[in-house]
Amino acid sequence: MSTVARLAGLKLDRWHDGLRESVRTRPVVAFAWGVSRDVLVQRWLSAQGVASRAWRDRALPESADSARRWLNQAAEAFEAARQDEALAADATLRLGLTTLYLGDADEAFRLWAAVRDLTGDEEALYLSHLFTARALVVLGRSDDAATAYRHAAAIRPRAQSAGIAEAALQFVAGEREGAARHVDRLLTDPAVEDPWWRYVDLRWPERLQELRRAVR
Amino acid sequence: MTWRAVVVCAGCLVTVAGGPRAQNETFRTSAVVVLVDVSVRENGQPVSGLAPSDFTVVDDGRPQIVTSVSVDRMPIRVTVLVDTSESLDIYRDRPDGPGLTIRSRMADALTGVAASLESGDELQLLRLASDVRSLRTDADLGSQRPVHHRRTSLFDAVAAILMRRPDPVRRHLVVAATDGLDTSSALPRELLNQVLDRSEAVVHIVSTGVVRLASSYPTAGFAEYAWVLDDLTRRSGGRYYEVRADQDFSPLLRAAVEEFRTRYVVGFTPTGVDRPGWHELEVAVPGRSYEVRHRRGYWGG
Repeated sequence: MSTVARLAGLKLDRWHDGLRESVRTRPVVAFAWGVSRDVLVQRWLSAQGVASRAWRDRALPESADSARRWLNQAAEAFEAARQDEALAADATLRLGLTTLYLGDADEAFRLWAAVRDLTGDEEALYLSHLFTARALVVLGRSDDAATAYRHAAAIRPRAQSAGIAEAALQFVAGEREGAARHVDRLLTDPAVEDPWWRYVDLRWPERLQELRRAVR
Repeated sequence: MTWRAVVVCAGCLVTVAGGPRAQNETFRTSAVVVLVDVSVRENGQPVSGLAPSDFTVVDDGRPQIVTSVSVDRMPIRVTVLVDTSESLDIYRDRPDGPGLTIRSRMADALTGVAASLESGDELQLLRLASDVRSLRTDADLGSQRPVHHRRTSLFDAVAAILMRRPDPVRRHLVVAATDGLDTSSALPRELLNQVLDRSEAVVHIVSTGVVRLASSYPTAGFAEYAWVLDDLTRRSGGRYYEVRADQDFSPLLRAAVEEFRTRYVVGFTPTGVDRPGWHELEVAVPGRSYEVRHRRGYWGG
């Protein structure tokens, strides 16, 4: 079942007064609601091919009213969810990405740095470096981006999300032999779970049961 | 003066003082020939017999003199990237689905390409889901199920393939067969484009899913996604194909490989333009209604 379908099963597919109240008072519901908005935005951005351009230009296209509304709803929800200690790191991670897409890269960097103070969870730490690196690439800060990718790769060496990007920076800089060796390892070494895949898939699918109970 | 020459297009070499050199080699000369890999078609069929005088080349807005045109039948490396993500399984099981299986998709792709290979050619096989993996044979597909196959990281996979070590004697064609949307690539699009612009490979994408997705979710932007795929392939000088989900696309791939072999290699020595940085290229065959396709540019400097 797709992520969206699972979230629809949580009855979080529509904004209504009861849900609005729950988002305000129950961090776990806020988190789930935020993720459901985030999923819609990510799908829209991916389809549009504007994911990075949107925030670099400090504005989503005017035609993207729905996406902007989803982003604002997600930001509001993740801000509420951060109040819960158990959700704080993950909500902050996601709030960073939402903030980035809304056009505030500096605040996004601050949020991802905060994640590293909030948790020792390897996946959250990996993602905080990965997101920082991606934003730095779009800002044209390739050296800083390479450093951030290396931080991520140090946590999960065979993860492809950071590894391919790190190799791409090498390739673009003209270090083709190094990039080729790097990629060959990534394509042939035994695969590992990549925190990024789990993130785009809600990061903790098993948490859905818990969320479903909370929403009912 | 020392500066770096960059290969322009698929399998092309930058020629210095009459001798071919490997890409990215450092030269101590100012005489560099840029070679551009160009596809010329009419009604879908390759056009043969063109001479240097038939082509015009514009480099960063400056018309150039075409010094050579060849249609060398060099050996090729074909990399086949097949989407093995979960969605294929889903559609296989749907009563109204096209009855696809990962194996049948793979068979389509391999049949199309393998039938076109000649002595000296090389075939590489990779599968794509959330991750991308190199396979030794199609039999590996059964034994190497993805760690996580819910998603499709098409753009990451294409970038990874383009960064692999180039073969100095084989031109490189990448054919990616996917059923829909890229849902999990982590590479910023800017970085993917930079890899595409510096790579020598031509990338074709065959999609069996975008049309279906666009009709099912008209407001989700899937129609625009087809544009994204088309843009990616055009950047490399390749093509984007949309086919029906139940269509055997092996003939299409066979034709694509054959067309790749018959591409022209158009040479010119850049004049009147700055060497470093990105060079926008326009190649045309004036006075004819041919479809001309080539890389958008090259990096010099």
